Amino acid sequence: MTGRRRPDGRYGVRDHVLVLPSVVCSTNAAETIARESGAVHITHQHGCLHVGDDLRHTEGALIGTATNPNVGAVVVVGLGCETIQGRRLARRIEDAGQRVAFVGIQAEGGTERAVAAGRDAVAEFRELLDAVPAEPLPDDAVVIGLDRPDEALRAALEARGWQVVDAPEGLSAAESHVALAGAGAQVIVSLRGAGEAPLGFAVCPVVAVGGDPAMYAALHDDFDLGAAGADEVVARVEATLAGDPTASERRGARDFVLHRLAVTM
Amino acid sequence: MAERPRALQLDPADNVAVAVVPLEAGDVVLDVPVREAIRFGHKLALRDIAAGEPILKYHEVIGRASRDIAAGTHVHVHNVVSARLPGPEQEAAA
Amino acid sequence: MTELTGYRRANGTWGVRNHLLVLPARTAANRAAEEIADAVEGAVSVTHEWEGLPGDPDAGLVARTLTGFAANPNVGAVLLVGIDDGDRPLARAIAGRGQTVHLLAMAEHGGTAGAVAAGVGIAERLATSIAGWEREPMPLSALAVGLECGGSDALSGITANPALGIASDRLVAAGATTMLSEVPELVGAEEILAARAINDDVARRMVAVVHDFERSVEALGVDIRGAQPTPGNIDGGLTTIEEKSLGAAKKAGNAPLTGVVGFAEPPTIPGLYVMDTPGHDIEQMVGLVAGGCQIVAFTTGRGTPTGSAIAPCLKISTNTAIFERMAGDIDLDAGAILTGEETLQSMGDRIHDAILEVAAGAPTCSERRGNREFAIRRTHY
Repeated sequence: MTGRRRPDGRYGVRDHVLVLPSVVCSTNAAETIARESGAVHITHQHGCLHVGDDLRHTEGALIGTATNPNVGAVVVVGLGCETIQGRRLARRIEDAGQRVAFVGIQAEGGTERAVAAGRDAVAEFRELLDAVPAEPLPDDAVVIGLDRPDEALRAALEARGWQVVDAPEGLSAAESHVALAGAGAQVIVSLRGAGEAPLGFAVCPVVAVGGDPAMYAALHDDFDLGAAGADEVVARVEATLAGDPTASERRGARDFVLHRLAVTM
Repeated sequence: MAERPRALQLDPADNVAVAVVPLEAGDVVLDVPVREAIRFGHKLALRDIAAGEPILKYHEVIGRASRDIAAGTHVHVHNVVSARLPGPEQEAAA
Repeated sequence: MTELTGYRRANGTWGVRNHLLVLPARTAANRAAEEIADAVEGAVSVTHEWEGLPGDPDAGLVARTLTGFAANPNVGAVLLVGIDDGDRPLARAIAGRGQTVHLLAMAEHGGTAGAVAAGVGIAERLATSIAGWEREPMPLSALAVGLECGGSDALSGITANPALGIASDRLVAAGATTMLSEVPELVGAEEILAARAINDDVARRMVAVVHDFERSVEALGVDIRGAQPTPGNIDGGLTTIEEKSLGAAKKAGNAPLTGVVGFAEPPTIPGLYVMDTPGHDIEQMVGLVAGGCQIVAFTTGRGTPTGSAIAPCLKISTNTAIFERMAGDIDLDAGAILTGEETLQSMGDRIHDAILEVAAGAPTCSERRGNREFAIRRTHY
């Protein structure tokens, strides 16, 4: 297994350039940049009129996604100098050791110019990242996120020398993916229960395990495994680490569901 | 061609106007001599306003003078309090 | 002046556009909906964060919002992409509003790939069928225009908002509906709006909607009046919250206030309304469109490029600098009032005429750019 060694010593098992809108109002520009330059992006509805803890929490979630080791570089797309959040977000991502460029829609002079600037930034990053060779991936650099607790699976993963991170309590499984990515998980194992459909995540492969036989049969293409034992899941995780795309990656799922601490003003 | 307005009085009843270019002492806008610098977007008094008198913009009360205000001077948080509830700036100034 | 034309729908409502909307019922269907819309000429989709988990206290609000959005008469037909039978109630609710809707359940197609293959075929058939709709002369009483602003700068209440208010008054006087939103920026203006209410009940509701918001913010421990105006507003010249709110309320002109409606609630008779929405630019836009607005007029001081997948968003800058800087994202410049090129009245008339031109088919910048921002409004977290 190989990975990309990041400046902070962690390893990515993917090598994404992420286009990250700092606010809902820049999601269209971010999407256009990503589509036209082959980068990944997320779509969200946040960044506007949060207060207090909810604002800090949202910013932290975006930073966590941007600094996941699968992300080699980030292009933050904001509205402009009046929207302090965009520049501040980029700075905080940079302070965390991540490669980042900032595109402000207003500073560039509207969506079209911002998209052109964003495309250029992605291309530069892509060239930079492609020049860095993959390295052997040490087992102790592997972090697997579980969106539901499972003792047997945890033990089997740890037996491989990998770290395991559990989802924080009180979040839905989808909300936990954001937290697991922020905790540095390179692969997320999503243990879907009764009636639950698989989700994806833009910067992390999600191994979707269908515990509900009916859902597994009905949405077969979107799952990676049915009701599987721990060893089967571990094997699928290993293949994913080695580069085999998950169902979520094959379909380009990039769900981003953010846990909020307060309603919007 | 009409001269570009440098301050806007939004209703004939208003006792303030909004500067739409930076104004300097010595300018004259709306027949009122400007007595001090007024920043873009900020308000100047169009006539003397006594402490306690309502500040009228859009022919509505947007606050009350917290001290006497001379015509042509800056009208803002240092001499206006909300008619509804004081804000931290006004509390600090009081 | 432009004659108003539109598409007369079977349920008596009128659209100024004729969209094929591919709508995900829940987050797990986002990708399939997006791929289907990408593959079908003229189809549009939105992406959202509603998981649809059982027991969610906001389920009713979100269902009303998605239903209203899908039922907007600008939409000729809806392909609702869901997972399984759990999404039938939403499909039924949309159909119950008189909208043409087809439910595509991913569970019947093995997941995303199969659903996309089937969905493209269904969407193409729907697209063909709605291509048969033709514009007819449309009564102004069938037009509803949302009035939105994207953050206040020093000029919002001086140029763009009052000019939009003049346009709003003309539309309302001619029998149309306009809708003011963003309750957090009406704090301090509620009595003025209540004084224009057509009856005591509406007046009470107008005052209550603002006071209820203040109480909910107090529960969070933030004194909204200590935070409004913001330091940025104060630096820009706004002195008190009532001055800021009065500036925002200018978008509603001087017309009588016919009613106060809830989020995504469509009014029953024409007139000027206040809709209970938050200040969040996209949540309020979704609420207005889900409440029946076919067009949103949006004043902006900082130049935000947002729009709706199914409703033209007419952007009006408060100042010429932003209009010139963000060429391609803004439609009209109310900064012309400051340069002397326009008076408030003439700018108001320009906005009024532009709204009718947009209704008759002229595309806005947001439509050319393909802006399709969407947000789920929540009251619980």
